[in-house]
Amino acid sequence: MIAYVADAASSTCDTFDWDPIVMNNYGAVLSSAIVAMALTTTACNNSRSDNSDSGKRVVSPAKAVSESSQAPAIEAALNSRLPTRTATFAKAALAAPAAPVEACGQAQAKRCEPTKPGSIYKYIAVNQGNQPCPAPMSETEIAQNLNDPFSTSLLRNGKFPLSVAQLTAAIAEADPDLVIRSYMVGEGSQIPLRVADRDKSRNLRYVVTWGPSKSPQNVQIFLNASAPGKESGFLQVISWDDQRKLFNYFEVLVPGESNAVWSWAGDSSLARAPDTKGAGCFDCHHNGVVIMKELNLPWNNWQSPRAQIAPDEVPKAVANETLFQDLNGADSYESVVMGSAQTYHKQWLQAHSVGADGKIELSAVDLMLEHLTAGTTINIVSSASLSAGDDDISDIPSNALLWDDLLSSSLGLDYSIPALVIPRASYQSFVAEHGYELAQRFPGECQDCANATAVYAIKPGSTHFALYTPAPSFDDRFMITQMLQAEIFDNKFAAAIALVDVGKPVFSSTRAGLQQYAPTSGTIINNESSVVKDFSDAVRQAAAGQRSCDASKIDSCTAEQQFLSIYDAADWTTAAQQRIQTYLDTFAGLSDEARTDKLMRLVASRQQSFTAWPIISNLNEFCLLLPESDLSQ
Amino acid sequence: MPKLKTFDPPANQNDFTAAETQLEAALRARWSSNINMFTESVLQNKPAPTQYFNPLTTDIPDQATEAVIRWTAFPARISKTFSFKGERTQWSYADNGPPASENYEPLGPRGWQDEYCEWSVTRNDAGKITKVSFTCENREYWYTLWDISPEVVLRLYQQLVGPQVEPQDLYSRDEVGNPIINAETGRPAYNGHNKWNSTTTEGVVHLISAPNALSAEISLAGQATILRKDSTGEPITDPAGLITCSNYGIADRNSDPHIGASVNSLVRGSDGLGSGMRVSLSNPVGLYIQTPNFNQYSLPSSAPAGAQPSDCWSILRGHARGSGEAIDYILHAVFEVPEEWGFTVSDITINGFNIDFGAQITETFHIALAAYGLQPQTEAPSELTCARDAKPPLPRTPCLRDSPVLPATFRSGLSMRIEQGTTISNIGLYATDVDTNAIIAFTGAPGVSLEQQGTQATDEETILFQLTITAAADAPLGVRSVLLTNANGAKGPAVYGLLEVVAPGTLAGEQTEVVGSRVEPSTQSLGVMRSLASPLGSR
Repeated sequence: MIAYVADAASSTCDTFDWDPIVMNNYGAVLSSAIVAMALTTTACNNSRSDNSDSGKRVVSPAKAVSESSQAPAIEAALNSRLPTRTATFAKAALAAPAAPVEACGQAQAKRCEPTKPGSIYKYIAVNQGNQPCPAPMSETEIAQNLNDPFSTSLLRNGKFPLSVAQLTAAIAEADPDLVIRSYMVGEGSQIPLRVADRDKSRNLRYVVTWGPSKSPQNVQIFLNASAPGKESGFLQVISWDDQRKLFNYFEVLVPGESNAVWSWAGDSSLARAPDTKGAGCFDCHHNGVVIMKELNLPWNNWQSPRAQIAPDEVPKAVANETLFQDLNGADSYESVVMGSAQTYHKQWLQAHSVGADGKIELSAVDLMLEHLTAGTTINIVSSASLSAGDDDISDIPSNALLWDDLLSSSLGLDYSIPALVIPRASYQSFVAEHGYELAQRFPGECQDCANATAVYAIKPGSTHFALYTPAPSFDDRFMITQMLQAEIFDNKFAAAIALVDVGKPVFSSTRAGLQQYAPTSGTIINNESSVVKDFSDAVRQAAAGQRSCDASKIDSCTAEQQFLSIYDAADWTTAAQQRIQTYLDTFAGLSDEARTDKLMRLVASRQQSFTAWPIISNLNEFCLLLPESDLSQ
Repeated sequence: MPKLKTFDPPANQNDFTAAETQLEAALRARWSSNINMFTESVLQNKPAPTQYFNPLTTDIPDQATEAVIRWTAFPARISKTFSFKGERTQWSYADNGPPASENYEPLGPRGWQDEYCEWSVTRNDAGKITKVSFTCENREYWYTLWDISPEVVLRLYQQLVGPQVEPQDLYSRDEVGNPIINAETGRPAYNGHNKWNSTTTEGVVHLISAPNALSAEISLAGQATILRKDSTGEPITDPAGLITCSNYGIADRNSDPHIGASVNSLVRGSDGLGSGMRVSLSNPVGLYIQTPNFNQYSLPSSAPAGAQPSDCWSILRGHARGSGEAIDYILHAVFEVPEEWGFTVSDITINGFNIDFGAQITETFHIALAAYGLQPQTEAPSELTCARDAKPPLPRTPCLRDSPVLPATFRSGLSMRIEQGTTISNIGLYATDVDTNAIIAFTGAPGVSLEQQGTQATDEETILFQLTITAAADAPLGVRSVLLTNANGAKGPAVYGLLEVVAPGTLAGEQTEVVGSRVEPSTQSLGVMRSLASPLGSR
């Protein structure tokens, strides 16, 4: 697993490095041989160490790592990199003064004072330039920023629990009314025992929540922890500040060390700020809210009503702990995530839509419109049919084809999606033909999955549920519906943007290009928004200088032309519906093989775009997340 | 905790006044007997679920594990089947049913609401929702309650639906409209599909969708305790694989696969066969609505200061969890805006969308059940390969009752009762995979005999037998099982508890020589049975 962070100092591959401090944290399981191996793999150039067929990803059998005596130690070490970051964000900054820090072959001069227990630290990562040093927070800073339950119950009372067990006990003591609930996710959670025994890494991690007994889903504290969790010192916490109406982010710096400290990593307001966007916690929490990639049924990778994480398929230490035995399903967590996220989103919009007496001043309008143009994040949808199942795949997720829930449910557009089916035989044939596999790999430093040896793999194989596809996010759709209700723009405007590159509901650079026309401010006067006029005028001005396009081949027209074809249409609703239907009709009337090919390639293409899209690709954290095939290049 | 003394009514609900203590006692006794019958019929099935137990006959220590199993109330099969229709259409289908042209099963009123939650939506003249009523009450309880006191049932209907409900609205009727008399009580039989409980707009009292049976729930839990392996010996643990292998429900629901896999996981344990638990559904056995997650709701800006979406949620029957309870025990709830707020349910949003369908609310709450888990297992379970149809097929009966009341019995799942020293003719026994000349026998205790009066094939696989049953004066009191044996020797297993011998004077109706009712057996009974989507006791 490679953790990505925007760090100009390590521009070649932007990865964390296995520095001696991290290794010493887990010294009980590390050998010098491992240290040596890690230190040698610092080059970011893709030296392909495995044989590979042309056009195929590295598919050599699991070797070397699992067969060597180093394998158990490596797995344990790499498991301890979980939940989602290799270590703390600050680890590079906390390198021992005497030892230069290497990151992908480039020395970085990062010198910071060692942390001292007893204080609340602050470390907020930035997306360019040198990272700051962690520093104790002043009383003023603490009073201004740390008013969430985690801070007020624990940190500000001088309680610094440094393991899940300690944290759980501390919260229970501080507020006995809070109810604890645990959830589990793991990209390898459904890997059968015949492929990997129970002690093999499946990237298992917990989300643990605390909410009041009368409404446990009104979560106040979120914890991300590795599994087994009890003694894990790898702690990342998010806590809701009901005064400031935002989330505070916390992590333990130098976990496992005698100078481990709790550090404030920022709050939701920094998620989209110019200096911190995509950095630190916000490389995944793109909107500053709690995230769940697989937000909807069947919640691929999660313990859920659709997929149980069997107790005899996880390490005994995991199976025997209460967090695992009392797991709740992803269906419950979905509700938590959606509820908590929209609480923040609503207040954000209110804070940027201020006014009275018929005039509302809008700020950060560019950030508002980004939800429509480029999208701020993604969720991942899939069929509820198993990749290894027997039935035909008839529930193609509609948001994989187009932004269906926005266009249909939010904007009320009427169109008909063909009842598509991928016959099981066609699916299996496609999977076999293109060499699909789902492989567990542990990339070394500066490696990507393609260059890492497989520890185990299912081949032919894919994700547990079929058609695992990055798709538009709940966050983006929710914000758009809120902006529609606030009359910041109207349905026509939203449709005109959303229908640019209609077949790419996410990762459309064409549609994202419209973001340049987004104003930074606006007004709503007597229910009339300036945003729509300002944006559309700018688009029209740009389009005026463009070569005219063939309206019958609208997909080959510029983004500006596509926008105006809806926005300026005499009957925009009909125009929009026709555009959508024309696109959807390309899926109808195909043979089983042709339809299967078209849909499977769409999914593969979307997965590949995901791995490369700025910032959003940070969510691609583990090699087991996406299947590999000859379409993966 | 010693053995459970009785099974309590769902949510420990007491529907009787202080002056009705005798009726309350009668209801409690009858209800406990019913749950015991459902439980024993599971335990006496084959293969026997050795890891399922009867709490009435098993010691349950105070520290026994209590496992909670929850699932979303929205009908998942609607989403799966109509994935290409978009969520607004799916919500509409969940509220009103898919178009008849889709021939979507389960058939019947509210059939498609098959996650153990059914609801009714009330709208104003402008089409805006003013109230949504939800129920997860099992029909078996209401049929039992009717047998004890139709007056109490009427009183509850008037509370839940409105004062306009009249007693005759709740009667089962024959094809010419006459009330069908239940010979056991001497009173009109109950019709759970009455006009106040069979639509999605005129009110909802209890579950009526065919698979939403409590007996089916118990059966599912029992069958799910059987561990399975595939042809290569690999354990089957995933929800879809298990349900297909064990055939205890429908794969694409939220409920069945999850309940089954959760129970199965408890039995399998984490450290090899024998490391798991024995399981049974916790008392009070039932399925319960859980409080919605109101964080997903937003009130309009005109809402009064301090108003919360949760203020619109009212529990009419059952209760929210108390201290030490792991789940809410809600049987019936409504979502309705206080009149003084000046807006409607449809002015409230969920996840940004106005509530235009009751189904949107069902996406925000769970249905839950609780189960006991006992360790250690008294014997290590073995893993079986997948269930398959017996060859030759085994005859089986789900239902035995005096013919006019047979359709109601199909829905209620309640056993027939006969007093010692009496004979009842015109009894219907509905059986599958059976020969017309099959041998029908009562087992479990002596003293009950029968004569076959005739048979009628209802379709290719089922036959309705017409019987006369006699209980000897000295027939031991208690339940009897029914065993069918075909001419080729295929038989059983005996179905537990379809008949109960009771003491003389127990039953209110004429018992000395009862001829069913005023209505002779006719195709009416059979026509009703044909319309039922699934046999009793199955999901």
